[in-house]
Amino acid sequence: GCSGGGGGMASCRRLSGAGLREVLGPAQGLLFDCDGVLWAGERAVPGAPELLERLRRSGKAALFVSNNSRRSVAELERRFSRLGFRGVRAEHVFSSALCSALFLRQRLLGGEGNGSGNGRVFVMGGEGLRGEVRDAGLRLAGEGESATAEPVRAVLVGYDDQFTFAKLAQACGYLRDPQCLLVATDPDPWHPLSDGQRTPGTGSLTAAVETASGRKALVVGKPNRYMFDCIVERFGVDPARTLMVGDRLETDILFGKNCGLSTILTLTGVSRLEEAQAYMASDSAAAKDLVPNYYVDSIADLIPGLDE
Amino acid sequence: AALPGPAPADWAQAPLDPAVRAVLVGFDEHFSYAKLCQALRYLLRGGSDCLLVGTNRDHRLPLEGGTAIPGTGCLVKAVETAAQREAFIVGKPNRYMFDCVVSEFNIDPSRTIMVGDRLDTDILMGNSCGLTTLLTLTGVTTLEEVKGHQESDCPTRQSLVPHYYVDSIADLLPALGE
Repeated sequence: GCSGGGGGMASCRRLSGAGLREVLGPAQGLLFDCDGVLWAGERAVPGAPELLERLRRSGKAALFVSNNSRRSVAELERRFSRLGFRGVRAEHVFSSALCSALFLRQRLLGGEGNGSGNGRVFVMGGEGLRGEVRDAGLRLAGEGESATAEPVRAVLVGYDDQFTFAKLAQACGYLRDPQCLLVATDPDPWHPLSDGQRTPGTGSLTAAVETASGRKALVVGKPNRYMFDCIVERFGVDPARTLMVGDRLETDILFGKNCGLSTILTLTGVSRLEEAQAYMASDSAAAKDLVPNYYVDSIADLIPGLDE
Repeated sequence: AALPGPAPADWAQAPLDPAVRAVLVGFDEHFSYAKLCQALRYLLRGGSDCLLVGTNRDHRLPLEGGTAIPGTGCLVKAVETAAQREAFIVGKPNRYMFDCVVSEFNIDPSRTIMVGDRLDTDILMGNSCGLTTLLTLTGVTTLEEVKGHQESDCPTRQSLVPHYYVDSIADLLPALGE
């Protein structure tokens, strides 16, 4: 059956044929990473929209968990639609931008905005991330500043293609107050571009802020558990009946392991099968946690495992 | 050269200089994501044929009045994280600069004193290179910090302890001839 990722060592088995039905049959739902799994750049992975449609018809839930902090969930909903995926609504999508805003709301406002905390957030990121923070009821530093401006209670580092030394210095100024939180949307060191090149990720910017401030960031995104906690709070998923599907061993597969989910690596994105096999052959206990239970060449390969 | 367009997708299309064989990260108050992008592109293109060098790893540059600005170490860390490789660091506490001095001036370490205000750069380098080390208290380090390292069991912290200290280098004057 579909056992949780908790006990026993994962063995990176190709999922096909009868094995596919055995694993997908009992599953109540699947969590999908987005980039490199559902789409690459502006192109849907062939068969991915059909897979989601077949999941829907089989009565299995599909939820989405992405470390990409560039877009608001509203933008992501439009993106799903534009790339040919039907029926995905914003409430099904858990991005690190959204979850970072929820995290900060909890910590600064005490939950639903009724806490005694106040104060502003210095956001190092684009408009998508800034919008999610605003939508959570938080005020941003640098907007509508007055002479009696509230203290900055958190620095949030996200994907920021307008990152500068000046912003880094500004963040450090705020972080001199030990009460000011340092939060990062995700740990990703780089992201692939469609032509095989790479663009620096939030992880590289967070490293700069941590070094300058002498502080360690609280990281919201995968492989940490917080985004799974958000999913459970909203939808109540059972980890023992849920599969995690992703393309990056160090984030998606480790996330699955950390949350007690069985994991499927898809090879349409960042990680290569050889890397998973190397982790499997390693002596280190930490490496074993990066080995997926299963792999497929593409998520389209999951379709035969579902009822007609 | 100026990068075309406002976004990383554009920057990744800018032509790379075919002659570049090294990325050198120093103090850069104009550091930006765009530059970080270009550095990553050169390092990926060149692989082991493109050096990654950092001038130093200082976390902070102290300013008058007790504030500080981010140091070169932050920028080096950003590039190292994006490229998933380690930079060769020229500055203290690494030995390279001492080796430069030795090759120019025929220094005998056993008859040379290293004078500095920072334990994890000046004193560590001096100790590692077999020099006598002298801490001056006119800079970033307090005596309490030194005592903390001295009392610790950790060998790494012990290597930050200088042989001697003075309140200021002016205190050396009386020891020198008329």
